[in-house]
Amino acid sequence: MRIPGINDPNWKNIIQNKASYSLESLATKVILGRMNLTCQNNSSPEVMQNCISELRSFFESNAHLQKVQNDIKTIFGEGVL
Amino acid sequence: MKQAMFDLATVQKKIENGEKLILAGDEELLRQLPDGAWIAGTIPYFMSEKGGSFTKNEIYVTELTNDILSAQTKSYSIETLPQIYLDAPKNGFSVIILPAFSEIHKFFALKSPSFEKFANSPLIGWVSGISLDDLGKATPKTFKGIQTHENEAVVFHVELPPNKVADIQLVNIFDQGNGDTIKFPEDGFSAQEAIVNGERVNFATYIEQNQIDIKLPLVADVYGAHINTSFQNVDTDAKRVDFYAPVFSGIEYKIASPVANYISEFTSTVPASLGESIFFSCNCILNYLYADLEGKKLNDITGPITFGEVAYQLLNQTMTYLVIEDLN
Repeated sequence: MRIPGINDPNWKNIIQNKASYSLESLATKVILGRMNLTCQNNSSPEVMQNCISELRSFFESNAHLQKVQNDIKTIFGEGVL
Repeated sequence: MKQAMFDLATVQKKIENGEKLILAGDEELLRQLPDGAWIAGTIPYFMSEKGGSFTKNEIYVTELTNDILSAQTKSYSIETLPQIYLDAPKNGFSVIILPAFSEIHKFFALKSPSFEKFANSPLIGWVSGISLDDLGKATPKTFKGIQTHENEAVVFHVELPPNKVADIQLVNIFDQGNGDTIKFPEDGFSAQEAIVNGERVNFATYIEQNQIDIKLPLVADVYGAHINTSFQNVDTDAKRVDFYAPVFSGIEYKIASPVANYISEFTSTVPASLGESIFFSCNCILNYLYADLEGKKLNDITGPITFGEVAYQLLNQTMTYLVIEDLN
């Protein structure tokens, strides 16, 4: 699975919870919950970039898990495959 | 891997045979165990094969058997706990036990989401406790072998073979109610002020005036995961509300919808066959008390009844469980 690069706008959208996402992995949910709070408390671009890098790293290291794969597809679309 | 209640002599023999064990039991029993590859937390409440029970005569045992590649025990202080995810195996999971009411319990509750590599590997566990009759007279403990702790977390880091994966899930029968939206100005285990529908109020007064049933938790919707925070006490004189887990500023909470019957709600939520595939599970003492679970079974799911549950972070009034599955 190819994980989109850090400039893909969907990273920011999911961290800011801009739409309703139906996610499957509990780990994805709690990581995003913490990142959403972090970015609410500090809206600097550096903080957002750090969160995107961390989330991307999580997806890369857990992309073998079916639920995480499904979450990646939910966030970035089926075309990510 | 399997879980069951055993008497002291049987558990002693298992440890002497070199078995790797995760244990839950009364402190006096745990203190009689030999050193070995085990961790434990104190608790006398269980969901056993026979149903909810209170006993100081048996130990709940989770065995790590042949499905694992390796497993190591480790204890953590407040200083070292933030590295827990860095210590986790690349493919596997970690089981943590924290002593209730301790500084490390509070530290984990408030800070775990900020730990490096938070939730990058499965972390499940529970908060040890004591008999409710012993509150104020005894302290919850954790054990790493014969080492006993009142302010350290104990962890089993378990490595799985490449064809297996671990997955943590929650059973939370509480949904957000359709009442007021509640936010808090600060993180913490207690709150004086809250922001209800955008208006700043004293939260204890709000609870009293609105006759809120504090057996119902605050529920946050975290990207679809319902995360509970349970009420401990409402002090209308001090105008303060205490919780069993922290509330966090920036999160929107709602009081849970009432649950008519915990057991029927639970059994309708959880597949009847789930118990067979669970490696470890635990359920909250508040569910045990408020739903009167003593003597009642929950779909053959067993485990300690705890003073807090861990699924990456601290939870309340939730059943957490971990399954080990074949990698597709």
